[in-house]
Amino acid sequence: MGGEAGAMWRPAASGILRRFSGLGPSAAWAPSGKRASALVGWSASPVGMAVTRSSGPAFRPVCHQAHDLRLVDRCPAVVPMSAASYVGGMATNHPKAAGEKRNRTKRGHYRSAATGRYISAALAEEMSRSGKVGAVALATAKRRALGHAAADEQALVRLARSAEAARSNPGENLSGLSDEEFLKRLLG
Amino acid sequence: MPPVPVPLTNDHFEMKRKEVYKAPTFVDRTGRAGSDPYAKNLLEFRSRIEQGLELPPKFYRNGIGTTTDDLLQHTGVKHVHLGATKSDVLLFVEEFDDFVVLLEIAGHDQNFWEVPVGATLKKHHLDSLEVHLPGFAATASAAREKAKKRQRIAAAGAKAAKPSGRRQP
Repeated sequence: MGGEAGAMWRPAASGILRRFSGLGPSAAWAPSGKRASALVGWSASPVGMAVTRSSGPAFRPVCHQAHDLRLVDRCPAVVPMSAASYVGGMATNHPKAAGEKRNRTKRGHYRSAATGRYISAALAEEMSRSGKVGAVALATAKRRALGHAAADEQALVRLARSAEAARSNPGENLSGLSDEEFLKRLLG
Repeated sequence: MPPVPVPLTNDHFEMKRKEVYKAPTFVDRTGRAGSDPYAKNLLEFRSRIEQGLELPPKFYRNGIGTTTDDLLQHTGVKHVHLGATKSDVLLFVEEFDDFVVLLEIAGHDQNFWEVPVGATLKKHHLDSLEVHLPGFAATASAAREKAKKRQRIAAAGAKAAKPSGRRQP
């Protein structure tokens, strides 16, 4: 299979697999003039099949799923393996890989305890340092939060209010109530 | 000044009759607790705690007994899954000797993935709850004594009503 695949994916005379843009997306990965749709049954995808030449750098198709027509349209034909660094088996210049990288930038952030949204590390630190939710913490949240300040602030204000109310309200004993009454008292 | 009760940090809930209290700061952050199956599970949880019955595994997290619960270790707050074991609607609870306090209903995001873990719970619930815990404990122990007395009276009444072993001719 490997040898056969190598033969099928042998680069064209130019040394690079040609992209047949004139034939529409289904033909994007067709080697040597064959339509890509003909390849779907041949192999799930050309993933990991490096197309090598007898001399020169190794070449590898960038697109993982040649049969996925949505992606084919956006992929360049091939890139030299030396030029593409692979993240989890995916070329970094692949649109999907770019998405992964974008997510990874969130590692420097924490989820806001109040809303579950991402807040910056600086804000999280500030909030955990301040002993309670007060005017200063809220002002800091307002100033520093990235994009989600309003939601965070509202949630914090709600929690601060309930904490304030707790000092005067001793809580309730919910034992012995009927089911309806229990839910009504608990959830309001 | 009465001592502040200390929360239990066992993985499972005790099989012992306990009173159920609502924390003054109780809040439903998911907004889903009033609908089924969460409401149904809430009622089941309450009745099992009140009757001292074992909680079914669906209320507990996966890996209980084999992995540690950071939140429980750091703050003494247990969480109960409403809906199913893997659901993201959690009831946060503090368990004491004679009573249980319902703190809030929230997802994993709000209390587990923050640094330090449980900071919000502590800030918004536990700190203000400390003032009321002795009161809860006193009420709960009084209720327990009352229940014991009722049981003794009922047992005595049943004994008196029971016919003696001798058969009448």
